[in-house]
Amino acid sequence: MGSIKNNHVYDRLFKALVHLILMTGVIIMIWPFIWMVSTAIKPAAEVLLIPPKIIPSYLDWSHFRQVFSEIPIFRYFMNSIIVAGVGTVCILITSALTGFVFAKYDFPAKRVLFYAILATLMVPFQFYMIPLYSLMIKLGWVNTYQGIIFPQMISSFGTFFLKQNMEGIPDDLLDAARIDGCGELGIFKNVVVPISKASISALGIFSFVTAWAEFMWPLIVTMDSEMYVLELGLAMFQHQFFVDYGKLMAGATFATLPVIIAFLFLRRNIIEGITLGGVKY
Amino acid sequence: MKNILGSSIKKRQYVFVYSVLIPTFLLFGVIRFVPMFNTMIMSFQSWNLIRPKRIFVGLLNYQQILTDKLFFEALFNTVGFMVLTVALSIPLALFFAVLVQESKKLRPFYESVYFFPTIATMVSVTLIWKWMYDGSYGLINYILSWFGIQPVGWLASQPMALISICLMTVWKTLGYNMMILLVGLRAIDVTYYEAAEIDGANRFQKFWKVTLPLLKPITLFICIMTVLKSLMAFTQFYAMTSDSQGSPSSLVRVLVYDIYQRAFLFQNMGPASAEAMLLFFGVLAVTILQFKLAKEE
Repeated sequence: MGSIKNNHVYDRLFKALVHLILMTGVIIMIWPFIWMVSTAIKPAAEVLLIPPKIIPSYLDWSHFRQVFSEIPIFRYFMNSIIVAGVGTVCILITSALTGFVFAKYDFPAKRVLFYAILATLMVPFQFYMIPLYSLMIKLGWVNTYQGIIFPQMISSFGTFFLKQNMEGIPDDLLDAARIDGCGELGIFKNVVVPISKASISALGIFSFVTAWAEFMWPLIVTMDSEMYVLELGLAMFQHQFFVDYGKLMAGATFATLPVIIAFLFLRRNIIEGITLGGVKY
Repeated sequence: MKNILGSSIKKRQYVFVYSVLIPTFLLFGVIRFVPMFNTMIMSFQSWNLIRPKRIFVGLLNYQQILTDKLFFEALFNTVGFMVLTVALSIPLALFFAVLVQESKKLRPFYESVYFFPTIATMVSVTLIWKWMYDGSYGLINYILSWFGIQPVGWLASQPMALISICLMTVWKTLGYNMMILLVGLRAIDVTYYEAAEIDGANRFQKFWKVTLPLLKPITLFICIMTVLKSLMAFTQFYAMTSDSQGSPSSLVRVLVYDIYQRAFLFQNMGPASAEAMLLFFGVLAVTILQFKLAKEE
């Protein structure tokens, strides 16, 4: 009897310890973001205080005002939306169509073609970015939207992922649509896409988040500040001035806020979408 | 009658298949296959944007890279970063995954909070950490001062700056690795634990004898992913240390930065391509190793 009670106490102690450690982790995970906001909204005189003030003595938006007047950060934001949005739509169209074709049709050289796509999954972008850049020069696409978007129009991971998912669609369903007089593109639009909605939207989230975070290619292919995406604009912003952490944190807050809002609403989908992309790096 | 209908459907299907495949493969060709092939060719050529005529130079580019002190500095930093990141982030991710699995009601909360840094963008996160690492006014040194620890120059000197960037990267990717491991943990059959309990195993024995061996394949997977990501690391190094007036430290040179600088800042496309080839061989070796190890499982 005594030992059971002992066990019970031990169990509760263990649980408490688990939560204590996890809560410490929570603070470490969130704290940098709280500190970012706190620095951004405090008056300039309080930024470099020791001991630091977590809650500013009054709200001061001047860091934000300075950022907005010194760099076209809203334009950067729109550039990011355009680049990530168009890129994601392209990836979804090309991956869904190609994935469907590989999943549900038989044609010569199917395996070879599929492995050709799959093989590029393992090749990092950094390996072929130099010839891609010289191609952009030849096409005159340096410093243009099409230049930034171009390499992000296709995804070998997306093709592979949607092929795997679409293989599960029963052939009878497609044949039934054919008997009803539906063309192949009609089958794709009216049968395959609605059924695969969940996996397509997961891929959409994954592609959008990846494209939004893209840094290296925009750095290479953009010349003018007008064409910067948000990530690039933010990195260049810190090179413009002697370090002013208040302004930098205002910029970082502006860039992080949309991510926080998206995460609050689409938490489950985002986590699933990103971990689905586990095979990609 | 049926035959005629069947063959016309077949024809229609071929038309559809090829009208999908031809444009996609053109895109894959232009964006992937041709540039990949060109990197290989360029690594044997000498050219730049000002003098675009390409001259075949044999292995000269490789020789230039392999005798360059900067390449070895970059290689050394990258490998150090990789080893340190794997050594820290895998055990930590395992530890927190097991704890989160243990927590019942609050689990979605923990998952979301730990995952958030993964989707926050690298540059914003790097700026925040740069501010927290600040030698004089940074929050981290302030907190350390409570314990009587002297201010640390987190970004001021070479090995320390690399370690600081590594710590930040571990923080940013912890949630991602943890979520992948949680998928693995959820897949473990409860009967294993029940059997272990009947045999009188305590919590730690269950972890060592049941959880860890069963998680081995997925742990291997995130190890390899972390290795590959570390080999490719660029953004955090660029944003944290390169050419910024505010950072007192010198640049922490990594392989991708080295390639970037040679190709796009110094216009040495040939040597840059040769270095990209070397990096690719490294990635290929790691990928082959992964397949080998996964097969053994």
